[in-house]
Amino acid sequence: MNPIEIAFIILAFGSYFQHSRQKYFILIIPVLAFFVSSFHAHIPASIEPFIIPGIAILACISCIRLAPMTLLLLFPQYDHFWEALLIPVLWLIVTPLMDNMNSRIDDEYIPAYIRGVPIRLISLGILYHVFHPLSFI
Amino acid sequence: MKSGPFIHSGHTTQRLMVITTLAMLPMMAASIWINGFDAVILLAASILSVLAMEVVCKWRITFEYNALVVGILLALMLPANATWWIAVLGAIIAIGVGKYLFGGLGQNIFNPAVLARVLLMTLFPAIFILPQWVVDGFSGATMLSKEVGAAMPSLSALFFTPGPGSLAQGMPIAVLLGGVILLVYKIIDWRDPLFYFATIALLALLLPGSDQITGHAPHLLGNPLLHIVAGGSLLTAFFLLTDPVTSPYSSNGRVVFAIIAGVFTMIIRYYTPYPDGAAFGVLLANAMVPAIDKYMLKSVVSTT
Repeated sequence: MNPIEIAFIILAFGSYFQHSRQKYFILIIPVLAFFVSSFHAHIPASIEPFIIPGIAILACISCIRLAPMTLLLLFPQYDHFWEALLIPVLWLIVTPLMDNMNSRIDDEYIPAYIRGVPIRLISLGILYHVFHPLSFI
Repeated sequence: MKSGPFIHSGHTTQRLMVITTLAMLPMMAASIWINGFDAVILLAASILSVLAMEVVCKWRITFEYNALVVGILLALMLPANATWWIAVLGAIIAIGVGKYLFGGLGQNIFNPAVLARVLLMTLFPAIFILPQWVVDGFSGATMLSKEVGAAMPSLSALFFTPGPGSLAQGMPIAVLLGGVILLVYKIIDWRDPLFYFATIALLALLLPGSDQITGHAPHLLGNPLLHIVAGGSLLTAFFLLTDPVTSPYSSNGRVVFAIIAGVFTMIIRYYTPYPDGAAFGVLLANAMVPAIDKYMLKSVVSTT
């Protein structure tokens, strides 16, 4: 998975949750995970297996509504710092974009069988295709 | 008191669509002249499928001028080597997903024809991105292709010589003529093409090149005219960004909208393997319209 795919999977999960005040906490998670992997050699072997799960648990406790997304962020291997930073930045751009788009999507006109979450996920899927070329940079 | 709207532009939707269709006639004629029967097949398949999809989605016999415009635009954005069923699939995506899933005419967020083009490009990259033929020394999906050894076309070749790319890209002068017709009849706002071209030209001069360009087609660097005329820039500026449903309400909003589309187009052209980012730029700008309207209308209200 590339950072853009990860950011959109997180957003897809996020559409099922009400945003909490602590949502911006999620921004530091990929960067933190990157630094942990960077300092991998300096971490005592006995503690190393617990570092990533520990961060995941801390993130989940501090922001329970975003728990599934926080866990998703811990899966990828980050090769570069920019890759780790791209996920929260993209998330930060697309989240308000989706919020504004959702306010424009008038459920009154949407076919009954796709009102609510389905049409929002379709919009998100379209946005994924728009941002996909950036994964080649 | 009588209910709104209280201010009317004088244009009806039908008049807008008829003049837009007339403005696309030069492009259709040029594409048929260049590509022959293949272009006729694509245009016919796209237009008939779009009209048929309208009937299926509405579940009654109807003729929509808007659908006719979508059908023609979709065909003009397809490469000449696309088969007829790609046009049919594009029509299903454009009308079924782009228009009716979002609530029908006036409710759609994304330009249906552009959405179909982008999704088709994802499904069939070999048809849209890979080289098609060799014309006068340059080859590729468009004149913007980043192929090793690609040559800079001459100024006359850029405007008049039939070139590679989608049906509309074959003869840029025909697109320009269509754009002039729309401007003369005041169907489109001059701000959209002007700020879109200005953004593209400025970024073509300022953006540092990437390996995608410097190692493959260095003539794409610092060449504003090529970036404006080649690829989908002209069609986007005159026919896609100006769609009244998927663009902002306010004049200032339209300026921001055109700049966003231009910036994203150039980022894709300079830093990704994709030859042209115009369609992606339009969809991103479409997605930002609700946000642009929200902040621009708020600023208009606060200053009055």
